[in-house]
Amino acid sequence: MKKLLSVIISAIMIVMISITSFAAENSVITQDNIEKKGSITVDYNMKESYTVTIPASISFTDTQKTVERALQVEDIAIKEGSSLRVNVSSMNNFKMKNNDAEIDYSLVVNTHDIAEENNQDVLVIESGEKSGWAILHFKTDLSKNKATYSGNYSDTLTFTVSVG
Amino acid sequence: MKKEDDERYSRDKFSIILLTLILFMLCVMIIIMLIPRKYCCINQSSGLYPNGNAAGGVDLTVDSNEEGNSKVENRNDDQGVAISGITALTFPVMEKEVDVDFYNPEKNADMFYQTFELRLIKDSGYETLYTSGLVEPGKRIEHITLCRGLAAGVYQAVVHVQPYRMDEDRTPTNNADIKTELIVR
Repeated sequence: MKKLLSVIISAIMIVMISITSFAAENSVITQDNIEKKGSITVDYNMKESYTVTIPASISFTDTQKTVERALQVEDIAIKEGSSLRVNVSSMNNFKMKNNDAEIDYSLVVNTHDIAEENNQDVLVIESGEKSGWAILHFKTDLSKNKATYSGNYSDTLTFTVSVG
Repeated sequence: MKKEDDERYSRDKFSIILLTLILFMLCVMIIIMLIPRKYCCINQSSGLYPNGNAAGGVDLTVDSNEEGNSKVENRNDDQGVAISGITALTFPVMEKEVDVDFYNPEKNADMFYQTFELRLIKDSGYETLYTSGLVEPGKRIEHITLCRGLAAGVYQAVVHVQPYRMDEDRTPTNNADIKTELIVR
């Protein structure tokens, strides 16, 4: 039994020593090469990144028929020659809905009516810029005559971001 | 003679116990070395899931009383929801366990959870490869399990990021689609 134990412990020790040796394989310094000149390459692969801040919500009320919200992109690191684009689409085609009842609203950016010109970019940022922003102008033709029922009318916007 | 046998029996017993302990520790070490990432991931079944509230990011409440709806909560003063850009994803061929970096920025602290859905764009619509639970601000998902492995190639994909308010209702807000290239090799 002692012999068996000795053999197994020896085997484990040999395996452990081998692992350490593998780790050191690429950095062996011997008397033969200690005087030779060497070189190393230093490189840094910068990952593409950015942070976009979108308006979480836009709330119209009886007294607030226009709303201005900012769209911001910060900490931009994209490939040279490429551009970052943001466009906006609406789940209900720029209508707030309450079952079958609906109320129109518009989104204007730099005089472009986004509700009319579907898939229009609301923000384009070229490489080299660290940040960019756009002001989104929301407006509804709010009238209780148009709203058939009282209650909550809602829509959801999706901001699509692409780099290319 | 019997005493010697007893002593040898005790030594053998000790050796067996020692050997078993060493082998057990070795197994534990190997297991820890093989699956370290399992412990870095956000638990996808942590119980933090949206409640399916249908309210959207653009809203208007029409009130039938004389005072109008000026008492309705005005949410135009929030600072917006920060969404972290997701660039090209690279997965191994036919592998369901893959690495990603889906991050809910710290800037959303105390305001917004986020969920992440990886969608493969197809000629007609999309296929959902993965859906996360709610991710808290400042936390990230680094390892996910896809519903299926993919053949080698370059695919067009979208990471759909849906924020939810950190209120009782976990109300969904406006959302974002981050277009990305999915490289499988």
